[in-house]
Amino acid sequence: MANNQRGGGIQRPNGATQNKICQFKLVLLGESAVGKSSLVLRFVKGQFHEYQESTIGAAFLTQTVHIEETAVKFEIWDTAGQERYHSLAPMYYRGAQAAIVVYDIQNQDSFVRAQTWVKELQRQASPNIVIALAGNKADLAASRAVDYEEAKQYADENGLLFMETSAKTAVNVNEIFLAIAKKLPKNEGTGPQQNIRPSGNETNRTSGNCCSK
Amino acid sequence: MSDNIKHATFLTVEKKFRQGEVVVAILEAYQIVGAEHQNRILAVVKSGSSSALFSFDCYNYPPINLSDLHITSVLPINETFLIDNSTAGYGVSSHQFQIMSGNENLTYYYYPDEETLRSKEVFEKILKRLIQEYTEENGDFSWLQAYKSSDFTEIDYNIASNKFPPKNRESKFREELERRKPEYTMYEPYKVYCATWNVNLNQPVEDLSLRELLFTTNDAPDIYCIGLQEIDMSAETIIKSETRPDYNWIAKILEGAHPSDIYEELVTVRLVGMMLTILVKKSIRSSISKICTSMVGTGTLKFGNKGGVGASFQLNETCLCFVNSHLAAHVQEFERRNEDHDEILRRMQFNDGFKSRNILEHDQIFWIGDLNYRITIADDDQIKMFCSYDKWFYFDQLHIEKQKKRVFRDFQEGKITFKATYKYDPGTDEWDSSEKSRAPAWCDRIFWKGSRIEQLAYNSIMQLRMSDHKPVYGVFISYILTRDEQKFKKIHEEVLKTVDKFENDNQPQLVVAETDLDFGIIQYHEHYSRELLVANNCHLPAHFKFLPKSSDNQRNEREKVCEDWIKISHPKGELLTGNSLSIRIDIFIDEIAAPEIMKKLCDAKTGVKGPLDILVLHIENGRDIFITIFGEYQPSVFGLRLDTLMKLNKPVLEYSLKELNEIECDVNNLIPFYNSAKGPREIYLMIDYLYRNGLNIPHLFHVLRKHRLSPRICAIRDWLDTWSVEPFPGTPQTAAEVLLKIFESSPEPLVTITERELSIYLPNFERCRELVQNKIPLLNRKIFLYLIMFLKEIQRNYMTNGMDDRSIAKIFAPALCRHKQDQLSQRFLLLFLSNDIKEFAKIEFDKN
Ligand SMILES: Nc1nc2c(ncn2[C@@H]2O[C@H](COP(=O)(O)OP(=O)(O)OP(=O)(O)O)[C@@H](O)[C@H]2O)c(=O)[nH]1
Ligand SMILES: [Mg+2]
Repeated sequence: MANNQRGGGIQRPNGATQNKICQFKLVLLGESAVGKSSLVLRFVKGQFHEYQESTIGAAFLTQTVHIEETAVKFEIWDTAGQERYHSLAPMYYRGAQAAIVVYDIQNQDSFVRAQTWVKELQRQASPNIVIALAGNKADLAASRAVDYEEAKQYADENGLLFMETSAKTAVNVNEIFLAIAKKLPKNEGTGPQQNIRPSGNETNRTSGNCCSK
Repeated sequence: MSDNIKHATFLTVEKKFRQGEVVVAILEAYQIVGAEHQNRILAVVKSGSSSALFSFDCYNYPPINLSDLHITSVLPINETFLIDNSTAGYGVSSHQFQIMSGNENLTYYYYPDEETLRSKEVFEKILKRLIQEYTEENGDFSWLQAYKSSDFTEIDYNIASNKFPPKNRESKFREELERRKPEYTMYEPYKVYCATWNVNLNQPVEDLSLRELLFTTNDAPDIYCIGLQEIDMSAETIIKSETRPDYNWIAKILEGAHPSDIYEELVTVRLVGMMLTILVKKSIRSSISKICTSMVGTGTLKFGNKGGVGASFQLNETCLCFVNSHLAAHVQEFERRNEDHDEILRRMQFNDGFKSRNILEHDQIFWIGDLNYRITIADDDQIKMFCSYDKWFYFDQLHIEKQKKRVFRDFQEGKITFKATYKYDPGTDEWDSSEKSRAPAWCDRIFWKGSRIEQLAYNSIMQLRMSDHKPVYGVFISYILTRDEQKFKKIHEEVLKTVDKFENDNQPQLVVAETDLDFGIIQYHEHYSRELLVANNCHLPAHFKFLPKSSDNQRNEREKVCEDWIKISHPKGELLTGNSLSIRIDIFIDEIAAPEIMKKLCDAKTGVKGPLDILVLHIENGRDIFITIFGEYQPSVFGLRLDTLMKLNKPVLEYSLKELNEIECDVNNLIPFYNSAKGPREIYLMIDYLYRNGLNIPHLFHVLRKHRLSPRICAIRDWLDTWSVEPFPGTPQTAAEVLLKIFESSPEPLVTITERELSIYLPNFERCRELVQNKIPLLNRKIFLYLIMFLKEIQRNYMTNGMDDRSIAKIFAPALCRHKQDQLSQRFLLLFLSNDIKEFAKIEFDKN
């Protein structure tokens, strides 16, 4: 990792790690029962509940992933998919740097709904938002109603990340979050706590031991 | 569970444990957590002579893989362990039981089938036996430690018991990283070389070499700490309190350093005669940070002819401090020296821009200098003869004072094996031969404090003869805490995950009894309320508030928590653990709200019984809960457009919302007026009634209307909405009130003339009449004139009812015109009340 964020700093002899933390707000959107909460539960706690209750509100969880030298902290908002709460969604995607739009591969309608979510995000959310499309319940591919190819093509056309996931078997769950983390810009001032500690002393040119946060 | 499944489950549970830990029994049960019932498998496990109850969350049933089971609680079966069925039966399931141990108290219930009942009985028997078997001697529960870590929900009981405010992420992170420091750090040896020399005002002349002082070891030191005293004591230097480093000496020091490595000057600090220079090997320079210096002048004038200079820095993870001091002179002044020492200790502060620390707040401290303590004994010659320290340390003031803990408390010094370093005839190894013939003393010393420091050498250099002092050096191996970057990276990642988990697990939570609040049928001018029960069953205090919802940006509305006609008794609040609160939600549809709710329902097109609004209950640092307000608004004549009222050909209650909506939206009047009279039926009925019964009632219309809200309004509402044939259910006063309310609750004002227009044409009656003609639509015009005629009648009965034209104008102007300010509209009404409008009205009434 570059060692000169303080200008000509000398690298620590034993390979300096600059531990930078970037913080991003991520929102999950999609029709009810497609598995938004299940994906978050799998990603954050490594668990799966067969009887996951429908979300009535918005749940907030954090999880940090690491890409090379950077820690990416996701502040995840899991929203309610039921249609009646649709009008409240902007409260949660407003200011989000990333979104996962989820559909159930067994349910064509949920895929159509996902596309309208994508449109709404493209129109109303931050212009640089990174959007991922997740075709969830991939473990139930036997009763698939949405073609992989079709969804993939749609995602490509709209510049979305795309994966088929399964909250139940954990397939592609970490992967989709990591893919988002990779795609998010990490050098500019993201989030309130960028983790480079200002140097207090002019003579202090080392790059190592500032404990990150 | 069938025997097969039970057996399979048992096998999976067994896999969770280590050798020597025996699963004695299992039971499938629900755990009651707040409002939730969570699937659990309870297991009794024995290890050696102690046993414990484990509660597992079961993600896949039956559990096959290890990952299907997660430990949620571990309860040692000790003297506090209890299984209690007594709570069962009182309004709760008779299958409920509680398990307690230590601080934990968990509530479960089991399936009410025969088979489970039997297993529960067996399970309980086993538990009771184990409780009896427990004694303090066999209570070694250390094996449980392995199960208590990450698998658990990490609840901070200090917060739970309200002892401490919730920790923030930051401090938790630091705490966790600090806790795990031993895992990513190790001690690495560094060689520290200290030297001190009182140079007695000598300049570093050309042929002087410090090699003899600084190059005494085979291995090159990592750090040099060189302290000089009396490099310059001229009056000028003293008065200026000179602090500029003396580069001649620094050059000499760099030249004198060990030749087999490259050194760089890390920092130099000088005060008058004292100078401290730190050299470090170039290769370790980048491991050093937070370099700062400090100086303290002591003595009465504090110019700095005596005192100390110090340097502080961090090498890897260890904070180091070096002090060079020159303490008060003269044999008898040992107490002054003690004071100087204390003053340096007290006043020397190192500030790296973030934190200030004193000398003692370092991991390792090296304190060197001309400390000036002498030997107190009458016969100086004796010292000169026996110059070994062994003989004299009892008389060494420094030794004596340190023994008494007056100086260098908790500092260490190596064994002195060198001759006294003071006072020599310069250029010789001879004792002072001057008249004063000062007694020899070990003035120049090296002390250290801190763990993991070993002294390798402590000696003086006799060959350096230019001063009346001999220099002294000390060589140390110092173990420096060093971070293993690979390990650190890994642990840093783990710590962040722990902190995430901590944050997620320590989120305040509230439960609400229901997320849908149904208000049933909602009518104009009735009060409705519902209770929203909110409880805090989590271990943290929870702050809540109802969030304003963002409206669509286009409409530029202010952000509202809810519709104006919904009132929340606690828009925000705090709930402590175990407390609950009943939040009252009130709905009241008044004349302002009536057209709003009509419009909202018509816009929503969801039919009558759609959600009226959704409240966002936000828990600070936690989740949001949506509360949906349901209700069926029953449209009334209040809140409808005046032309809509004209188009109704049956009671309003007999219309569907859709039909009403169509009529309301018919602004171009495509639907014929059913009612061809001068105004809507409702207005006609009120005015007609008042003509007959109200003209002589004192104060028929009241200025202070707010105080007159009458429950009879509702009776009249029903009477109007159903086209009742019963006699009018109110009084003249209520009829008057209803008349005003009909005008107030229509979506648009009756008089569609702006304040600005009035300001131009007032007080000219003719022009105002034209305004009425041009700006008010025919229907409204008719109603307006009809109303004015009626009001003139009231006014005519001024003697009995006390209503003069001014009070009439005052009451009706806001209801009819709805301007921001009423002065102009009042004058406008007065104009019409005081002029003859008969002809005008007649012409207008005849229009169609
Ligand atoms: N087989 C299978 N079931 C899944 C998967 N993900 C979720 N489910 C199930 O689908 C149901 C709905 O999942 P949720 O996570 O509650 O769905 P949601 O999108 O959060 O729904 P709302 O909160 O109502 O918006 C639950 O019963 C889950 O157990 C999956 O990957 N595979
Ligand atoms: Mg959900």
